[in-house]
Amino acid sequence: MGNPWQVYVVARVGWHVEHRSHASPDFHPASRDTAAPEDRRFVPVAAFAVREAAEVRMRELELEAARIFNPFGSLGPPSVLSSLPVADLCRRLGELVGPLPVEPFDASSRLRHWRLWWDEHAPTWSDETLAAVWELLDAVRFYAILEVDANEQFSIR
Amino acid sequence: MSDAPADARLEYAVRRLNWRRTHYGIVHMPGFAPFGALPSFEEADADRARREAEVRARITNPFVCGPNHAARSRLPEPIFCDWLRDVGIEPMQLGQQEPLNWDGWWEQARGNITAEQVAHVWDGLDRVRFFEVVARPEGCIGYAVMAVDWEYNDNWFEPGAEGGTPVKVFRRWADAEACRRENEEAMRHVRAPDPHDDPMRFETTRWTDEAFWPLGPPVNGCPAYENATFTHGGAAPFYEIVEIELPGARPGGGDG
Repeated sequence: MGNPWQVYVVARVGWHVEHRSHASPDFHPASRDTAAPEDRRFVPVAAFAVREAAEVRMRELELEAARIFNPFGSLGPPSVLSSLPVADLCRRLGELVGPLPVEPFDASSRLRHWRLWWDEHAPTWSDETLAAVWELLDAVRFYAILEVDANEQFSIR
Repeated sequence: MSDAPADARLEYAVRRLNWRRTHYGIVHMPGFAPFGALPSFEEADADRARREAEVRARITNPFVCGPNHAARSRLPEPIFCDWLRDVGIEPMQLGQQEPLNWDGWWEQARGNITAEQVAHVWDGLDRVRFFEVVARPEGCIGYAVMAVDWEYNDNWFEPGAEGGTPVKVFRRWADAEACRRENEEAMRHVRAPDPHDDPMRFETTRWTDEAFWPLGPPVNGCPAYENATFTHGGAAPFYEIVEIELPGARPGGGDG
């Protein structure tokens, strides 16, 4: 008989970090060859008995991550950052935070302007604004919730 | 953590932030690794400061941390230059060259910089911090037994840079260790080297590098791949234990 007790584990997605030049670190999740999301490697952070509590903690951790991670720092082309078409992404980003770099957001060679723009402006955004921006960058996630067996029925909430 | 019991006492966890060594420098990624906890903030902060000083001594050039100035300091570059001048360090000239080559400048300048001035430089690089102290409810931790996800790269097995697959969560370390040992023994039986075949190699640099964490110069001056360490299937770790937060759990190992 299987274990009847499960917890919701907030886990950080393991990332590979490469650095091909002084100015251009490359990042990607530590997936195996299959690259399927369920095949990623994880670093567990916290466990909860209730999924909603895990989601709250995950949002806190994602926001912490967004505070230190510049999404324009060589992750790759726009499609790596967001499921939105580039035009929609830029329009909605502009609505949230005001003027964007004048350089088009369409090629990695121009991402430097966007990287500098993020470095300059993101620290001035409120948590709410940053969280809203990160919602647009929906292809970049550092944490996930996993259902994992537990050896007892925890009273954790 | 918002779900702590209302009557919980606090303890102070020291956490190592997720700086990662790369071929060209050191970058700050999201995440942390816990190092246990101490009962008072003062003790924890002293432990943090000691660890921080050890790492700084190992990283002889603070400007290899982070891909650009903004990743290293909240001070804009002109203000940071004034910060340096405050203690008699003449910084590099701000000009048309972008981005400024601070790490190259440091290599030139460091011979004339005193220990006190070095400490001042680190103070100005306020985004380069390797450890932090966080308050948490006493004893609200548990342990996850993790499967190491070995992957064959056509030459040997690699465990990945970090992480694995969580198998089971425990309140008590002893229970987690018993689970880890049981799984480990079963897996070793399966993966032990065949005496009639070439033994498969398992790269263990991820663990052996820990002694050099984080980020000091390459061991013996060699690039990382030349310092890779290996073992065979009979000795490779297939499971490990990771400390995790259990918000709301009670201290003392019990659960009620």
